[in-house]
Amino acid sequence: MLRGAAVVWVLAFALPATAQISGNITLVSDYRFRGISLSDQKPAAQLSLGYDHPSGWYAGAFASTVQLLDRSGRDLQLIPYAGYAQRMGAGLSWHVGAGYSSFSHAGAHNYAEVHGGISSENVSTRLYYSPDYFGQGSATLYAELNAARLVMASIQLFGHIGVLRSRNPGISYERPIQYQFDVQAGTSVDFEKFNVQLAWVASDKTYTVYPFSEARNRSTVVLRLSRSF
Amino acid sequence: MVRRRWAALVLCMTLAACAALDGRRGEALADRDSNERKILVMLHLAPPHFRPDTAYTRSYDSRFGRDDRRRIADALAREHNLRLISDWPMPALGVECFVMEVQPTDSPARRIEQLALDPRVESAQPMHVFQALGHNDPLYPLQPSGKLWHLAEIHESVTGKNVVVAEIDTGVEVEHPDLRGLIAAARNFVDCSPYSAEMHGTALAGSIAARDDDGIGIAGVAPQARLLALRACWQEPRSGSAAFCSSFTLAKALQFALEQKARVINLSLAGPHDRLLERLLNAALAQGTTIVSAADPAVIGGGFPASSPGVLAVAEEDTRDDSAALLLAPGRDIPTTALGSRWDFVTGSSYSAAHVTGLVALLYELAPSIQPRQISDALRAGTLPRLAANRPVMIDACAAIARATGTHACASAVTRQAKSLPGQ
Repeated sequence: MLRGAAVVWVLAFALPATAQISGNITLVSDYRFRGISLSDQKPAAQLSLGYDHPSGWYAGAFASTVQLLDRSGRDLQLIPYAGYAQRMGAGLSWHVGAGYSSFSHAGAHNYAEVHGGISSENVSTRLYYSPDYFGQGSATLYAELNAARLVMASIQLFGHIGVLRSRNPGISYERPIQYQFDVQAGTSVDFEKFNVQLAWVASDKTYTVYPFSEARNRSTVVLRLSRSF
Repeated sequence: MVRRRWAALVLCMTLAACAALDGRRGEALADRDSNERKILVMLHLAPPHFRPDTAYTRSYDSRFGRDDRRRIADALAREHNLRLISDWPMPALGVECFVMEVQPTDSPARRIEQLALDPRVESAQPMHVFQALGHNDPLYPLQPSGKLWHLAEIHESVTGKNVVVAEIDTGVEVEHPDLRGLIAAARNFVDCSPYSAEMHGTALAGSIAARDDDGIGIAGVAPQARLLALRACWQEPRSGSAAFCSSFTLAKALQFALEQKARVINLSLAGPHDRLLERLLNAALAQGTTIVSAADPAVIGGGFPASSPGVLAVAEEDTRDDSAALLLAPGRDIPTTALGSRWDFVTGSSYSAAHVTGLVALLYELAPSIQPRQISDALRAGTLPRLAANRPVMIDACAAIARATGTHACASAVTRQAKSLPGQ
């Protein structure tokens, strides 16, 4: 965990002058990941760092407080990631990369995931593959489609739909594969260095492959306040 | 109760955002003289990609990355004794464009040379000033230009329906009775003030797309096109009706036209060669968009952007420029829409370009997959025998439609014309 953070730190400050580095500090009312609460439906604090090189290489790290099912207090999730992105013309671009999600004091749930996708200005689609999602012992595929539209100079509306294909952790001989859908719709407003997002998030299942508390509600409204630096 | 609280929160967010709208975009750029001291500095804009916390927002509008580009721009401004004025992301080129002002005692050319060597800078260039072409001239007698192209007959089968046309010029009178309802979007890229109507833009809009069969005024060449009225030029009161634009305002409008997937872009203006604009024009051509530019009659070859490769350069029919690259179209004594819900007569290559823009919209309706190169070839397909191959080509709308689409939209007109030719 600390080693990962140190690598990101060194990476961030040993960069050529052409690189661009940015960050966000965020507070969310509920950390929803693919429709599932990773914070036991409580607020979470997050930090994100990103690095972009003009050649197309990108790297970064994301950290968030989480509340795991089998732990009493809050833990920390860290996701270092890296990849390569290029524009294709006609407003399209593609990217491929990988990330590694690790949890303090709960290494059994660590997992790696590769991702690849195509983006236009307003729409992006992405596919993720993890050989051992959240350390549950089976491979998963996650596909998502995101869209956003600028309605005024600083106000966007956005929507998201995603589907996770995983092995059923329950009665595996009857329905060995399960699909879990999640949707999100909301608005995002920029105020200079601040961004406020209000979104409705929903998932079609509360019983999941995730090692987190089962949510009382399949859907919720999430408020997200972030400051960039 | 909870729902009411969320509703109140959404309302507060909206009101606060409206109050903050565009404040960051800084001061007005509509000052021709101060533009001479301004330069454009481009920084790399990373392509959109995976980030764990910003999956759902528009790529270049997310806060991520923008602050660091601002920091770099601030540092560059400090190091090179410049004043940072404004910025605009241009994802079509993978850059964010910053406008900076050179001190009055300093040389813009020297600063550009120094900035171009800085590894943080993608490119740098002067801020050029462009001028809208053509002039209003109510003294010329009425001479309906539509006759040459058999517009009434063409409109029986094609009207440019739903083809997106971007007019990048001064503001358009959106509520003009002959234009009402056909403007799909009106945006101001000049300054933060509300969108305003001006003479040149309103006249062009009428020539391109004024409503037909409405019992008033005129009929545009493509009366059912969807017009994007993009104000990137401004009319300067002290210069009469003359209108000016800058590299920055034009680039912002071109970026918007690209985002909106405009099929045709009308640029009835001219100025010095501009690298940033040429890159955006090339991006548009690569996207299959046709660019129509008025040729400056004072410059051989038409000036920029008319002289840029792939751009259709259009002059009025009695131009003295005999460059073979030019296309000729009606541009003298054109009745068109004017400010104050009026109509007036105009003359100039601006309006010739507007006619061709409308004609290209007709071609796109008939052949949606046609490419800019094929459109250029079709517009050169004259039915009349040409006296010399190396002279500008007078556009024949009927022949162009027939060549591009195989459709005889005005077969009877062509027949009448053929019969009237001596020796045939």
